[in-house]
Amino acid sequence: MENIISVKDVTFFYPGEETATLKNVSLDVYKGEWLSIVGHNGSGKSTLAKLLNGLLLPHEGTVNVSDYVTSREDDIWEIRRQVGMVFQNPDNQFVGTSVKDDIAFGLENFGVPRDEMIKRINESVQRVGMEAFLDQEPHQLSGGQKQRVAIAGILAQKPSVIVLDEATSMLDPIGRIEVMETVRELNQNEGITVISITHDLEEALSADRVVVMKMGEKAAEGVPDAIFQQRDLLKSAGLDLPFSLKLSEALRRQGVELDRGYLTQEELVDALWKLA
Amino acid sequence: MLQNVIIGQYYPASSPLHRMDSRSKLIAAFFYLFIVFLANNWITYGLLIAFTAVTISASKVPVRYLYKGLKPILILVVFTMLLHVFLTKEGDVLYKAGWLEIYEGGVIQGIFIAMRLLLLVLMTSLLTLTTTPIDITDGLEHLLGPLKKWKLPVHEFALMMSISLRFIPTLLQETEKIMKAQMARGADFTSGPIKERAKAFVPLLVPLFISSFKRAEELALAMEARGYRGGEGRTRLRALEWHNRDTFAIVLLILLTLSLFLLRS
Repeated sequence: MENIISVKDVTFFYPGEETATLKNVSLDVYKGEWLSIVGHNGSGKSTLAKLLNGLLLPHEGTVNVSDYVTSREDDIWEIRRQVGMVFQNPDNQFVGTSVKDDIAFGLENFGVPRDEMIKRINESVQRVGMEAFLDQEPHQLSGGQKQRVAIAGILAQKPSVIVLDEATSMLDPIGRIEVMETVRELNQNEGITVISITHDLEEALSADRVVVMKMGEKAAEGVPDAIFQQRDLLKSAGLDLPFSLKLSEALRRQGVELDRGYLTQEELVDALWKLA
Repeated sequence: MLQNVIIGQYYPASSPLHRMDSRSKLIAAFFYLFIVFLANNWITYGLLIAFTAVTISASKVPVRYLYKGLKPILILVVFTMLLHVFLTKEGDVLYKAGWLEIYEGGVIQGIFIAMRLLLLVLMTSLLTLTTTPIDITDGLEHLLGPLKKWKLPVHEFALMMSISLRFIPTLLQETEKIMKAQMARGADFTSGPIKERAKAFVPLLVPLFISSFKRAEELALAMEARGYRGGEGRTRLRALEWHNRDTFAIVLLILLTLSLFLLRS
């Protein structure tokens, strides 16, 4: 598969800190996939996210986005156009005074002509289902709606990758579903690569691939099925197992004959009603 | 409750004055500040009053709304007027009681000064009543644009303004939240002597201050992630359009200035 982002042997220190936040991390992101990076607070997952679009630069190693390198100053703007980022707090990334102005912010920065801008705003606001809110002000929107506006702002830049840095952790369940559905459609229908940084393993269940971060190192990498069978590893990384997995484990301890831990509710139910 | 606070004093309506370009309104208001001082007799003041009255009626802002904005300044107007009435010693004596003497010139001077102040305040409040804060910011950025040559951070200033405007409701919401949280723990913001009440605001302001800094830091990061790199090479979505009515307004103002020059004594 074709790489869109490759992280090679990256080490990163925050100024004034003794230990490295990231130690020798290597990672490939494939074109069009949904990659989840999971880890506890302080595992270095958010730092890793900020390295992907050059918000932070590695002390050792390189980060490449297609043919561009984040450490090359001339490449950085193209990288930021290609790798859009949705942050945790919906309010603190809303720059414009209205939905329209906010989506325009990125386009204005990249010097897109006004006519083209209007076209792209209208198009991207439809793709996230916010066309009825174009003139609304941020304080009139819910958290989920603000995050969808942030996504529209990125879409207008015609990105190839969207990084969600804990983008749903401050939202209510409805907002969370709204945002995840929007991103899933973009991933499936338009082939936009999604990198979702999260500590919520439920969210990682539906990813194509999962990377587990622990103490600044990559602890595991693989398809969700394989990762979630390594319960000890996940526990030592400070992560809470998904509910269906915990339940199947508990049932097994009670003597119910399940042959493995089931990841989703559906799989578990299927296995349960087939029991003799 | 705090959400009902109106930002600035914009009066939403669709009048010719509302539809004017913010640049022409800014130029006109600024220009007006100077020509008011040209008036020095009844005819010229009459002319200014007529012009201001026409502008007010064109703005469709209710007079009662205007009066509300004028109220705080009225004391100042009356005070300056009285000062002139008592202290200017010109012309015939109109009234004399003991050491107190009121001259004709003083009364006239007092009325003129009061009118001058009122006209100034009326015109400048018309600007903010008919233009949204964000439009004023845009207009200022355009008008001050040439100053960029002398390294004046015009773009940065305008961006700062628009971000502040955008965050006012957000910070108000947050203030309300912190207030409720402190009230739930027994804080009292509404009673007691003024000193106590001022003290009660400290536990409100400190968290607000800290969170604003945190917001600023995150916002800066988000802006950078979206390719912000200063005003250079930036295009803009908000466009200002100069119409005939804007030219007309400026021409009208020039005509007014010329008549003031001709009619002043």
